[in-house]
Amino acid sequence: MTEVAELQQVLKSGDTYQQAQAAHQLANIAATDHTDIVVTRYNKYWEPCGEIGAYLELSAAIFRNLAPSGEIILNGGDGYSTDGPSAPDPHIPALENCRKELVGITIEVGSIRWAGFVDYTDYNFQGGKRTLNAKLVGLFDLLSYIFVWPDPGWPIQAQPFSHAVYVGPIVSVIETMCADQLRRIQSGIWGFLNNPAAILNKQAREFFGKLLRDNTNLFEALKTPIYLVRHKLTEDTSMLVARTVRMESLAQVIGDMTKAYGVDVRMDLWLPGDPQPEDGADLTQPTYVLTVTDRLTTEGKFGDIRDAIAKTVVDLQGSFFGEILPLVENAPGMDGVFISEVAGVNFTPPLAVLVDGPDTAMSEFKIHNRHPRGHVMILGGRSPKWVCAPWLNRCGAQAQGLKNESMI
Amino acid sequence: MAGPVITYPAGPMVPHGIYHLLKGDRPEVSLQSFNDTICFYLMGGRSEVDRTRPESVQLVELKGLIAPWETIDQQGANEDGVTFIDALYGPIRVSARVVVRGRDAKTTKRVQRHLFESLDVKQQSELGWISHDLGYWWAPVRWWEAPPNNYSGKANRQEWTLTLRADTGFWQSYPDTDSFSLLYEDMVDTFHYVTRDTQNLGYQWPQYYSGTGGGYMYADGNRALWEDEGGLFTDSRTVVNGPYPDFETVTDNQVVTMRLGSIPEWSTASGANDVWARMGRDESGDWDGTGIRLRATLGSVEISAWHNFTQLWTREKKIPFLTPHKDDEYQLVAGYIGDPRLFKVLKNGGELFAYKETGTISYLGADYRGVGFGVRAGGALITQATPSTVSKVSAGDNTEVTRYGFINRRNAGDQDVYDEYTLYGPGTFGIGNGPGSTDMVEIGPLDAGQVVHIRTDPRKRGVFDLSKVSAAATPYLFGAQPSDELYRKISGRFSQNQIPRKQPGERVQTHQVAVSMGTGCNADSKIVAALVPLRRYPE
Repeated sequence: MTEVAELQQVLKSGDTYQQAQAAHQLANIAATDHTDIVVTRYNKYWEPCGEIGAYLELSAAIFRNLAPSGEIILNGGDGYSTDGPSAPDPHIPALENCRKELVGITIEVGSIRWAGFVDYTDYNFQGGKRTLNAKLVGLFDLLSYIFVWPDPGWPIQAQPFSHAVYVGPIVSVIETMCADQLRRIQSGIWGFLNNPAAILNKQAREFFGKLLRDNTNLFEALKTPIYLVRHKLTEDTSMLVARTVRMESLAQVIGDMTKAYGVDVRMDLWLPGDPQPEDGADLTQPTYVLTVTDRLTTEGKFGDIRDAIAKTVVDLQGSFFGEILPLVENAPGMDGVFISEVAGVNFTPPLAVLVDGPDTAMSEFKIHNRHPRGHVMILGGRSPKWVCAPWLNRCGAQAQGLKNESMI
Repeated sequence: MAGPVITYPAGPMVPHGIYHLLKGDRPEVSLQSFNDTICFYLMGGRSEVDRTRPESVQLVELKGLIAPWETIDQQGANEDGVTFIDALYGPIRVSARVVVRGRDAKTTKRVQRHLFESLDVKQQSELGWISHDLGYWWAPVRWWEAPPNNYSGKANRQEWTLTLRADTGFWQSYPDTDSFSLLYEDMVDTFHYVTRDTQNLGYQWPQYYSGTGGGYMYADGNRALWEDEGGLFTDSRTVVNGPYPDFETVTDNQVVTMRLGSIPEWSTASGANDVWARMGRDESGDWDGTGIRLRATLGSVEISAWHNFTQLWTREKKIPFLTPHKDDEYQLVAGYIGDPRLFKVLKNGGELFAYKETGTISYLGADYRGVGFGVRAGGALITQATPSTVSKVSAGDNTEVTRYGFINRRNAGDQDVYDEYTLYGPGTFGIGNGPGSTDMVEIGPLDAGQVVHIRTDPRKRGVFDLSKVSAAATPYLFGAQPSDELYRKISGRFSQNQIPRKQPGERVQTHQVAVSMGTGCNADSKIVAALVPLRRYPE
């Protein structure tokens, strides 16, 4: 039995004194942050090939809606030894292989996993020391190589439309856009006609190719290598957006669209043994999992797509008139986010409790109060197209009124 | 946990060592290795050696037992003096000069090796003190600095200066604990009557005897006990006392509790103590042979269902070394709301055994709501194997009831210490915001089987779901991490749950923290409070 299992047993069956001690020890275990750093190298099929432990330096960052980056610096040896204490790190040849194929890397700290691949390596010689500097880039980078075709159902040589138009709550828009294009690539339907180099970089293409060739089951192929966690459109409460796209990369469009809306797009690596990303996903092979999450802290009263409309209207009104107390006001601490109790759009403060007092757990803090010195108003421009959409009659009319006023 | 395998000095204590230990005229200092396998008695009666076996580590000089402290002050630009804000203790840094001794070079080296193996900078060994007044106080210590000593080259002694650090800055002792759970005392009998002459339990308990042996059960004014049959080659005999007259629970779900008054006679043909629930009555009010029985005996507990004096089924759990003790409370929970055929055995509030009957064989309903208890005297070579005496029997409905009360908190240290609480679900709990406070912090509702640990120290992470603790890192999650939903179940915040230190020159005081158990609590629900007393100086 593990220590935890033993303690759980005592916690259940012991007497009061034993139970109190077991509870204290279990809490100690739970309070320990798991900060072990595990760096694993994978081959191009995401099969683990070894653990990189003797790094000189290691860094990894996960950015929001940008490709994560990372760097590993390894000991480059003395230049001629192949074994013994002066030999270079044994992982160097495998990492340098990145020019030929995908070299997957994960960096795990507790329950956080950075996943990506080697972008390029530099073998450096400086001041008598040799090092290998491997620059890593996260899986999100793949989205930079997937282009949005106006109609994914047609080959590139014969696209019937000039632009793809996406209208709706932003989470669903991004999901739909990605799903369209991923289906196009993963089903391989136009692969024989299109120039594959235009679709993906070389390393990723090989991986895609392997999985596509080996997956005779089309349904399986559609889930691999990129699996998209879908939300139901009718339950999507994120803000409404409209965007026309023509042959831009997914990463570019996502970067454009998500700036103002607190939407988080992540590309994670699913490995066998991990919990499934959603019910019914049934992933069996290493898969890139794309999730789109609305992190806006305003919420509406319906809990479905009607919130998306209400929130957007409130936001538009707020951004145009500024704060109209008590109709529309700025969400505290959230620049550019507007709430309205009348319209049922409320603000849930994020759950971060810092309490000042004796024996505080903080080592340093600063509470910043700022006097509102003025408003910056930018007038002009055009309203988004959707406000005039026929399916949004009432607010369309309202927004029409706003637009007229702004032209005066 | 097993005690240390190796001790220095080895062997039993020598007579003059016992003299000093009993007299208490020397500091009793010990050092225990981080995994508890080796214990060195460094000073005091226990460190006195038998001269034929001098292997030991003797303490020559010791300093740094009290942790140094620093004040945090502020001084204004025009302020005379300073304004005191707070004070913080540093770690304890003990410097101990010891002599490693052995009968020859080989054994001396071995003792020395054991000493060094017992200390580590990454592991914490235990430096402890025993005194007559205070008991055992210890500090977890690391080996902090390499010894600066010269190698002596002597065959049988080598001096070392050990620098040890206790991170916490304080000496600690055993935690003070208390618990609070629901009382099921719609019916209580503490046997405050004498029935020795009549050789029964009076009108309170109808008795049903079976078995070929002799002996009988009676009350002596304090407890119910078994009178052995004398002589050799006795047979076993069993008695069932009950159903308790004029008492029935309102629902099928019962909690019956039996408190023992002694340990049973140690015998291979051991006696047993029984608790009966769901007993039925015949026309005359006597037992009709139906019920659920908990039998507690040396090394096992057993639940069985009976009808018409016949056993329907039985489930036994062997628990090695389980010995009923004086004042042990055995509780039979027969049925929970929504789960009337779930049976549990609790001993002093801890769950020993649970059994869920999947069929519908055992009897329940309005006819089977009596309660009782019993014993079995085992047949043996010389008189019978006597079961434990019984000092209290109580029973009640396992329903959602609310109970308010207090838990007793005692802090024997000289530092105010934050309290810790462990809550066993299901139900909603309330805990006062500190001793004497009427502000209640509500926690819940917790699920059945959920165990929640609360540290009121604001410097520590506050709330833990112990039912979900795992030593490994939590599995990788897609999207958001699960938020600490337990925080949402807490209304209010613990801000004053420091239990005051023992006042100078006074005895340890008992402080009371208000607690409540509300909606959804049942026989499994419990609050356990614990605190570790801390002192600056161990003696």
